[in-house]
Amino acid sequence: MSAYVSFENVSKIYRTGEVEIQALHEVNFQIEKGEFCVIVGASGAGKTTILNILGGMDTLTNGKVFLDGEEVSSFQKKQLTTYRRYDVGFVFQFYNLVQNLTALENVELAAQICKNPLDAATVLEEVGLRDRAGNFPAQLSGGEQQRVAIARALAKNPKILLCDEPTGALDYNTGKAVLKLLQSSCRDMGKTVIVITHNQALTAMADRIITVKSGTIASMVLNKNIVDVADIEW
Amino acid sequence: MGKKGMEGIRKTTFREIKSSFGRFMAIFGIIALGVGFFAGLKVTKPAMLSTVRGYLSDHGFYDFRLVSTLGFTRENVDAFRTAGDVEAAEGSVSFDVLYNLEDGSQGVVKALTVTEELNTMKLVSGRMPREENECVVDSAMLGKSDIGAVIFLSEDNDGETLEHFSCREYTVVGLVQSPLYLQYERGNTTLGTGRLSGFIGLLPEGFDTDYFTDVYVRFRQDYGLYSEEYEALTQEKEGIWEKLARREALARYEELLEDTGEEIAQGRGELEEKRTQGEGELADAARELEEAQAQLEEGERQLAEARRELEEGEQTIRENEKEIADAKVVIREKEAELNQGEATLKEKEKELADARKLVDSNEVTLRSGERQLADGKAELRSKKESVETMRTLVNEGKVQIDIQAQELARQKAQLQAKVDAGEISEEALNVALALIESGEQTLEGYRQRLAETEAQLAEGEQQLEAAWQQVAESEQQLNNGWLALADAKQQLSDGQIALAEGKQEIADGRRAIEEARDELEEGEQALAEGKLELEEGRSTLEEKEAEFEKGKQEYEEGRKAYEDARKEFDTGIAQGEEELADAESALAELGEPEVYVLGRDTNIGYVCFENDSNIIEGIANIFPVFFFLVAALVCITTMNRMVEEQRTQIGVLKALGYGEGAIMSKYMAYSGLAALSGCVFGFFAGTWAFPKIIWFCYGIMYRADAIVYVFDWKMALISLAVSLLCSIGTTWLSVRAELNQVAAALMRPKAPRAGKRVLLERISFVWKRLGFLRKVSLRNIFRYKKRLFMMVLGISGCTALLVTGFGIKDSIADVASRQFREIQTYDIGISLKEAADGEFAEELEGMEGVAEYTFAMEKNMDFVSEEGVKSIYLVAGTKEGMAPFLNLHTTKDEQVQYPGTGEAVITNRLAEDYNVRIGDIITLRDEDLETFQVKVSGIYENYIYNYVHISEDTWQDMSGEEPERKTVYLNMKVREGEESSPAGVSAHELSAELMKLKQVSNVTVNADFMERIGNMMASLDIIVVVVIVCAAGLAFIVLYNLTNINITERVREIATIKVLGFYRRETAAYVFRENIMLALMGMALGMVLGHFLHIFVMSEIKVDLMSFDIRVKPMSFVYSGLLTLGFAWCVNKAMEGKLEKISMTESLKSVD
Repeated sequence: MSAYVSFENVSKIYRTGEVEIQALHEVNFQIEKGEFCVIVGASGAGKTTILNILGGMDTLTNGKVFLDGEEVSSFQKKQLTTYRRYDVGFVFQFYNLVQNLTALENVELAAQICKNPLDAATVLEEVGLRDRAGNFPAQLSGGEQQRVAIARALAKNPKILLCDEPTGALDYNTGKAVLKLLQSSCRDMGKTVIVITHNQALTAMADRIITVKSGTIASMVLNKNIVDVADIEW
Repeated sequence: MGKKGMEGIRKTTFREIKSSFGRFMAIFGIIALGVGFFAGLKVTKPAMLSTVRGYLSDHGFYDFRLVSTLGFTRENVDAFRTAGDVEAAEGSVSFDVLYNLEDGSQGVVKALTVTEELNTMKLVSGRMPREENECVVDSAMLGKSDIGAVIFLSEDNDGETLEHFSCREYTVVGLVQSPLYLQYERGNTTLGTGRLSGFIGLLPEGFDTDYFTDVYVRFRQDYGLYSEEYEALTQEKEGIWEKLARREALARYEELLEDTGEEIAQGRGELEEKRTQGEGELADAARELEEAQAQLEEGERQLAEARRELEEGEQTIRENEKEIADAKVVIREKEAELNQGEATLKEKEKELADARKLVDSNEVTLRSGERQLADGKAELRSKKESVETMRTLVNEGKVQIDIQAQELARQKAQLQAKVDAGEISEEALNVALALIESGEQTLEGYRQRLAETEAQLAEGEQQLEAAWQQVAESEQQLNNGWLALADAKQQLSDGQIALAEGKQEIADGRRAIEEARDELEEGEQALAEGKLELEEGRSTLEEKEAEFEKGKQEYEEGRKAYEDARKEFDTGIAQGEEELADAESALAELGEPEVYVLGRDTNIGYVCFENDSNIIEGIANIFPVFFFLVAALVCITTMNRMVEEQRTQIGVLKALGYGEGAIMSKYMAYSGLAALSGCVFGFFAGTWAFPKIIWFCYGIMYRADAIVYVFDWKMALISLAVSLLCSIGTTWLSVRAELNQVAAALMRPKAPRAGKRVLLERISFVWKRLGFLRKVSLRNIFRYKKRLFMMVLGISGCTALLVTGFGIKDSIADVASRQFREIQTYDIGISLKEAADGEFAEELEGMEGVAEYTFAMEKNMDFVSEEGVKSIYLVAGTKEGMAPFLNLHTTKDEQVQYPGTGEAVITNRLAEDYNVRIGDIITLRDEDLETFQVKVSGIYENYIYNYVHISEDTWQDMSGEEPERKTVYLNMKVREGEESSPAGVSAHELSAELMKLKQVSNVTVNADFMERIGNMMASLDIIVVVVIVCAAGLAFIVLYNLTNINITERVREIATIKVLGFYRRETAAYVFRENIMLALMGMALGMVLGHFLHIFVMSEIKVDLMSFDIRVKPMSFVYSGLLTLGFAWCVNKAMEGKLEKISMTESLKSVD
């Protein structure tokens, strides 16, 4: 049947007063389970809207969205929350760690509300921050913070991992390390990872590349030639 | 920097306000609340003072009250009026009097003159009196519906009191307030229950006095109430006026001495005059009575006579009737007789005719007989002549013999004489005698023969005589015949005459009968008339009798009236004499007058008002500080946050070349505008609402005009200054800190404040046990110390306010029940008219529901100390007697021993107010200014009134008098196991029964008292509501503001949390758990603060007759806590919406 993630004729119109902005127009794409997908596009192309809709943070105006057979677009608010809670892991551009919690606690924050969470400490160890578990975000570098954020998302053991410009606030090397971590999560843990970025370079490492342009899907290609993160240059 | 720049700044400022209206309103609100509270509370006392001052001034409240033991006259008042600085002086009369109403309620009122200039009464409803028997009444004593009722001066008043009044009853025509009674307290009296129910106002004519009991004086001054200037003025005047008053009183005294002397003399003269006049009148009356009595008696006699006459008349009539009847019979008889007589007459006529015939025949016979007789006579006469001749011869012979006999007798006698003489012898004599004898014998012989002849003669004569006899007889017969004939003839003629007469008689008889008949008819007529008259007479008699009875009754009445008059006269005269004697002795005792100059500080209402208005001041001094502190904190955190939020903008502006001043001005304008508008709004709302609300609460105790609005420039400026300081000052500080940085630094996002381990984490065994989210909250709480402080302060302030509000109610509301459940535990208090006796005790014993009772003396006295005078109740009883009715214990529930001889136990309030300690000697003063001293042996917890308890022995020792046991404490029977429900009769039923006893003057059911005070305390709810509203306002502003800041500051975090899939409630809990924790902390602190605040506030509140049980009930803490949490919950609920609105896309944004 259908794909793991599926957008069917999704449109999104923002209304602010008199003004109508068509953010998405008849968007269709599918992502298979276990894929590392990169959605790429210029600023304002609508990639964040896709992320919001897929992440259950926003509703759509028309069309249908499915994840693992469930119609996310039909969910009510509460169902959306549950959906976010159990099915989606987020990695933000600015990490969005809770400043008042240590690295471990930030992971636990997510883990404790899930049904089958992974062990926070283990996940943190897996992202290589075992030694920094007791540190507050302010005491961590950006890369480390993002790794905590990824650990937090992974610990929830979600169906998909949504990453919004995960390297946007990081320097090159750190960004690479983070991407590597994401890739290995996908490969090793079998997670479906969706990365949203404006950086075309990242498409090289993706299984599937979706290009968004002015609210529509410009192209969707499966990458036959997957490059290791280490080999990507930008 | 040009104008344009400023324009831009202004624009961004207004946009800022518009976009962050909540924040703006937070500053506006807290400043408004702070200023409102501050200015409102601060202005309340001046507003109250101003209101009362206006009221007192409008009603001419006095400055000095002059009292003299002799009173003052109109002239005295005139003299006072002309003294220096006097605006007005007016005399007034005032007497306490027992009264009762038609419904049977009774009490004591102070009757006052309705004055015109000073202490004028304010008409509440109805109208002012116009007649001497009209009055206006204290509006606190009677209601509108009582207008038209009548107040009776009780018969129980002594005569002297009643004399002061023109009437015995006064019609209520209106309700008034008097400036003399600013508050509810009406004062004490020596009459009745000892407490005044209120006052009544009478016209000067309503009193029957010729002097004023008080003179009120008002100076030309307009100093503030209780101001130092006023104190100084009165102090200065007091000396002068004491002299002036004394001088006038002395003048009055002199005058009185003189006048009274004259009056007494005059009175005596009048009395004598009255006596003579009265006696004269009485004597006249007595005489009149006597006359009346005589008349009555006369009348009675006349009546009796009339009655008798009437009876006689009746008798007569009856007799007359009989007579008439008889007469009729007689007439009939007479008629019959007459008829018979006529018949007889006819017979007689016939007989007469027959008799005439017979007479004629008899005459013939008689004539023949006469002739025969004459013949016989002639024969006889011849015979007789022969006899007679014979007789003459015999007679001559006889004479011869006799002569011879005589010769012989003479011879014999001579012989004898010779014998005797002896001349002749005896022989001679015998011879002579023999011769004489022979001579005598011869003579004898002769005599015999003569005798024979004579006898023959006598016979012859006899025969003749017989013949004659026959002749005579015949003659006689003839004569008789003639006589008979004559008789017959006579008879005949007589018969004829008689016949004629008879005829005549019969005719007469017939006529007489006719006449009699006529008479009879007349008689009958007369009889009928007589009967009629008799009837009339009878009715007249009856009328007369009735009249007589009436007269008699009138007389009796007259007599009674007379006796009454007599008695009255006697008592009147006696009374007059007594009065005169009294007046004389009074005059003799009349000492120099005592004079008092009393200031306003002797007026209960005036003094209490100062105390009570100070309560507000006390509260006004502490509460606003608190609010301003919170306001400042709110401003700081708010502005801090704002500046932090806008640091990029500041950096941009700075980079664009705006000067620090311009940038600063934006934020200062923002916060300044908020503060300014808040200040203006708060100031006017506060100064309008607070005095109004508080005055409304005070209205329960004080009666004056509506509160005036007071605008206090100074206060306004202070408010403005403080609010600007709070807002602009804090803004300046916040902006200042940011502006010190370079523009570039400002434009970089400020590093989020680092997470920090809190102290608690070091106590790992606690920390470990805490839930994960709690840890977050705890860390958050301690992350921002300023906010923590502000939050805790705000919430604790809220809780403290609530605790205080409830505490005020607890402390006051329970006073009555503590007093009567724990201290004065008796159920019913009874005041007696006279000291209790065995009879009364028996009556009590017999009453249903009475469990136990005791008699005691309760007496109103003054407690005198250096610090002042206080009215107290002195209670003298016995330890055993009082035990079931009075539980003396300290505030710490330690038992206090009943005082022994010479000892006293006093109330804690008295001890506190006058600094009395156990072992001290206190002085008590009675109404006659006599003082007593006792040693304080204990101080006990008491709330209502002030009592000094002593034993009866102490009283006896002190006063030298038996205690007057006029008070009864009584406990009712209670149902077993149920302390509060009386068995059998209810307290009111028993009370009603008790009131019926003649000795009882008043019955107080303590349950009623509790209820009444309870009702009064209901007004405290208003205060509590005000406090709750303020507390809620405080809580809302603080919580809202902080939560708002918290949320806006953590929007990203919250959005992230949401993205992570936290449910709505989980998100709210994540955010608000801190709020709740802080609220709990603030609450806990607030309870402690509230405890102290409550004590402080209560210490500021002083009510004269009550002391308070300064405590807060546990439930009040619970309520305060729950309300605080409730407020927090409300804010959280309101904020949940805001949380909901936070878009998850916020999480995607960069930090700025």
